[in-house]
Amino acid sequence: MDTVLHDIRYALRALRNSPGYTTVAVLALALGIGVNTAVFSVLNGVVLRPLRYDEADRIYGVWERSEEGGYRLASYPTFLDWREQSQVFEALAFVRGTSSLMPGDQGARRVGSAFVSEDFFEALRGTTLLGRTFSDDEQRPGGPHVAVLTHALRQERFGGDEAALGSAIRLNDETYTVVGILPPWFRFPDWAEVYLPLAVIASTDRILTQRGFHADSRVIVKVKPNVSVTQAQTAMAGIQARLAAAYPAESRGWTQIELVSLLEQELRFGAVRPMLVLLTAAVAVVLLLACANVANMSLVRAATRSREFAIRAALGAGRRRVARLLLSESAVLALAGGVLGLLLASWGVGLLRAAAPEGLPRVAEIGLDAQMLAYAALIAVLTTVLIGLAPALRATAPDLTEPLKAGSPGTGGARIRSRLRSTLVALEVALALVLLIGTGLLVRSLWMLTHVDPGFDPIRLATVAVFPPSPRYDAPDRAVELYRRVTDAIAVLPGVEQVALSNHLPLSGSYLFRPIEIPGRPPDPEGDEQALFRTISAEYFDTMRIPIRRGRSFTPDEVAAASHVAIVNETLAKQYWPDQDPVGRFVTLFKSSQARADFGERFSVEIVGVVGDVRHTGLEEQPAPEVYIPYTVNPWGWMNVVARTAADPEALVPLLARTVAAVDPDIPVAGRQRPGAMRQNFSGQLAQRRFTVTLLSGFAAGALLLAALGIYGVIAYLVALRKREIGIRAALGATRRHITRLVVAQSVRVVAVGLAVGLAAAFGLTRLMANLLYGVGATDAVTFAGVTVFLGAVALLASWLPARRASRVDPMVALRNE
Amino acid sequence: MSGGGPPRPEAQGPSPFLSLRNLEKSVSQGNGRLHILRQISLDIAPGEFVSIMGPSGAGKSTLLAVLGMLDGDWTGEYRFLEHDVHKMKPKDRVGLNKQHIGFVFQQYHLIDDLTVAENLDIPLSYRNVKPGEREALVADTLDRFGVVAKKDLYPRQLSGGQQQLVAVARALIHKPTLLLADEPTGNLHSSQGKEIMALFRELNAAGMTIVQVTHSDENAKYGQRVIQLRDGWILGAGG
Repeated sequence: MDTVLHDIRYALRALRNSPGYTTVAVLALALGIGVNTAVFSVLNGVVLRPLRYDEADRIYGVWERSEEGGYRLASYPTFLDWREQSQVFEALAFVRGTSSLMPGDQGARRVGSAFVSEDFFEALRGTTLLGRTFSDDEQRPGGPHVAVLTHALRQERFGGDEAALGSAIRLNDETYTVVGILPPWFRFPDWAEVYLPLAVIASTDRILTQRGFHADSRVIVKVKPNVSVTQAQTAMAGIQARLAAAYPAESRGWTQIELVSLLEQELRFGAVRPMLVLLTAAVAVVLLLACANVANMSLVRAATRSREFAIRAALGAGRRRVARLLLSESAVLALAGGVLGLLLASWGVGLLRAAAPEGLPRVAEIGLDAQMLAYAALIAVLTTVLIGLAPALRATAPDLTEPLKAGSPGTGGARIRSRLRSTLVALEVALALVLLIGTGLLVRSLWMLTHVDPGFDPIRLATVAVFPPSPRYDAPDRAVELYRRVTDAIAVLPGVEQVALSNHLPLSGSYLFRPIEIPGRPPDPEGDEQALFRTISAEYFDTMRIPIRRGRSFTPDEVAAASHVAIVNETLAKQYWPDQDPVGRFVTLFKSSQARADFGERFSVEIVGVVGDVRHTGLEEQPAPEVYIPYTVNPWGWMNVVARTAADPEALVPLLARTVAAVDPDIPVAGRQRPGAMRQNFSGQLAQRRFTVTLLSGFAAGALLLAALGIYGVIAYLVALRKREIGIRAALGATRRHITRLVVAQSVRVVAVGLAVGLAAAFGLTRLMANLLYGVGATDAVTFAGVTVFLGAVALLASWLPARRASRVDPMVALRNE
Repeated sequence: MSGGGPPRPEAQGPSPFLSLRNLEKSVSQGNGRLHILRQISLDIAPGEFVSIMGPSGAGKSTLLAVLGMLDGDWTGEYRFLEHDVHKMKPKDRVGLNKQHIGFVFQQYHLIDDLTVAENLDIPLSYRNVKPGEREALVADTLDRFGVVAKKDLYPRQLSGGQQQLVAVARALIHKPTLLLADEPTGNLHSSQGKEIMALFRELNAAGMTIVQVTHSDENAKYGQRVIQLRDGWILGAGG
């Protein structure tokens, strides 16, 4: 123990005596450990840490699956059948999602409301933060109106006050008593802000009677303890088969059930995980690079101290003692780097949480905790070994007494040491190349995506959603009247060129697939013919700059008269009439507004035009078949107004809010209903990708810097070692160019090996990220070649600097420098 | 002669191989300057074998470096054959050095990672000699100095005397007209030292101009003239 303390004391003193080395090493390690801990805390918080519900491993979301492999949400009638017939679940709950109008001090706003069936809080059993969940009484039709709030809504509405319990809140002109507050981590479904008993709407919500409606719902189950997922799925498949036979119109082909773990569901079926794993791998590379650099610096230090170690050995120090001495120094460095790294990580985690894209789940759960401390400690230990091992092995090599021999100047005695250092540098180049190529591919993907033609012109478009307050505008004609008044008011605003209405806007995340039937065409055996159901005003295509390919747009008269006409997009036209003109043909659609009594009612429309495709569901998605009808034919429960402006649409946003409020002050224009520029939908689409690319670019830049420093350090070190040799060569007639070439040639070999290894590794590894790429192959030649040339150039520059210095070595000084 | 006197008249007989006039070298030190060479005026005739002697710090090696054009940071005049070195650009001085001068060092200064044959090849590699010619010259030199059997050995596998022999061979391989030697026997046993000095005498007899720095009176006797340096001044010259 004494000797260990002695070693540590000595290590501290030795490090104090080399402040430059110590500072650089600690900073490099702090950076490596810091970013690793920060990014790992995100991975841990979002992906690895189990959900906090009791027995979370038995909780699953339930999805219907078609024989084609499609997924859909269950309708309430189907859920009721499942509940009646299944035996494998301990709890089985249905969630019906809507948004409700909640008045507040800053005007009304819409809150995500989850009407939940009896077993919901039984399945998601956790600790209620305050109060309780629903009693049996409250879950019966006609029971008292009660609500459970999420932590976030409580904070917003009551400022964290405990008096929230027992308070009344108003939603859609109904009053609810708050009986419980959920903990901050409770987040299911992710849009829910307030939970209400399903019983409240069970008898009035027509959607709950529609077996064919597959939106705005969730089904969650808690599997019985002794039942496996496979057993549960098999049991449910039996029920599904019976339902498919009994209700062919709605369920033909949907014969499978998939249980998706709640965590997986939150991660959007794994879309988030690969990004985070990629980031974690990237920071691991940065840490390795930092370690390789510090190891290189330690090797130099050990080399300059070879005489000290030789004297120690001569005085009786065993190899193990000398190695321990060096490892003590590494441990002190790693500890200091670790502590500083943790500080850096805690700051970085805050930054990551703030910068996280909106869709990143469980952000609230990201944080530094005991697990993170353990992780930082673990990588600090690993770092100690990585940076200390090579110098320790070198210092204990058998030729330890060589430095003690008088007059053994040697011009190449450091060759073996330099080989190890060169290997480390080649490794650094390889690691940096892999990271740079990976980043390059993602940057190119992002570039491709920002250059995808969405099918409309998003520049200079401002949008505002109009949610008519209930019950004043519950009647369809009242709603239509309101939409018209809002449009008229916006149309006369200064700077507004065109105004249109639409139920859903492209890239907003809102869309609805609904069945479509073509008269005379046999129904699809899969029962799977669906198209995006769009209701619009006559000015929509003009305003959005969506080109008319055939026929014409709607006339204002057709819209005013609610004529049964339709316009389809090219994808739909090609799908059903590959070589024919669809104009003049009829299709059958189904009324699709959930707000209306005629939901599901079939009606026939005549196609009057074909328009260009729009990437409605996502920039990365291929355009879906789409059918547009006049908004007056099936008046939606809300509407989006889209205005084309002469100047910056952002400037119009506050004016839009005021104008809508002037038409009716009860229309919410705050919170999620705040007007905005259409461009935001674009940024939103790419936010997560941009977040990843930004972080990755930062890490890649760090890696590049570390690799360049590594090359510079090694070449500078080799130049120092070869100073005398260079002096001899100069004395024997070498010119500056000869010397520069000699030195650079040495780094060219090392860098070439590093690049070759890096390329091979990148070929293997980038395939793993193929599904994160868009419009660029995993082994894209341009990226591979460009990045390799770039890194090679940086590496050459890093070696040219010491080479230039070497070429200025005064031969006489070098020759005298024994 | 004593330093500081008027410039010496031109030597009689054939024009000098090289001549220095009022050459001064100093480096800055603290607030002032440290003078290393003071008003050096010196003529060396073709085929002469001159020894420079003096205590440590007298400026012997510096003078040798100036003569060898490795050091260009001085004032005064230096004429080498027909060239005014003091008027030449550094690049041209390197050219002159390459063409005419060979160096032998006290520490041999062979490159450890190169074999004997590769060490001999270094000066040729910097002089645009064609590869075939280089090979032939290396083979000749190995033969001439009796080290053919050692051509693939590394310096550490040779004795000190053998290493210095290779160093001399390397200094001569490109056929210089002036051989500069900085204490060539300083690291050798006396018998090995005698062999090297005998070799120098032989080369001198064949017409090579040699300037050596030495501490040894005995070695100085191999040459024809001794230049004594002290604190940067030339004290006197003898034969």
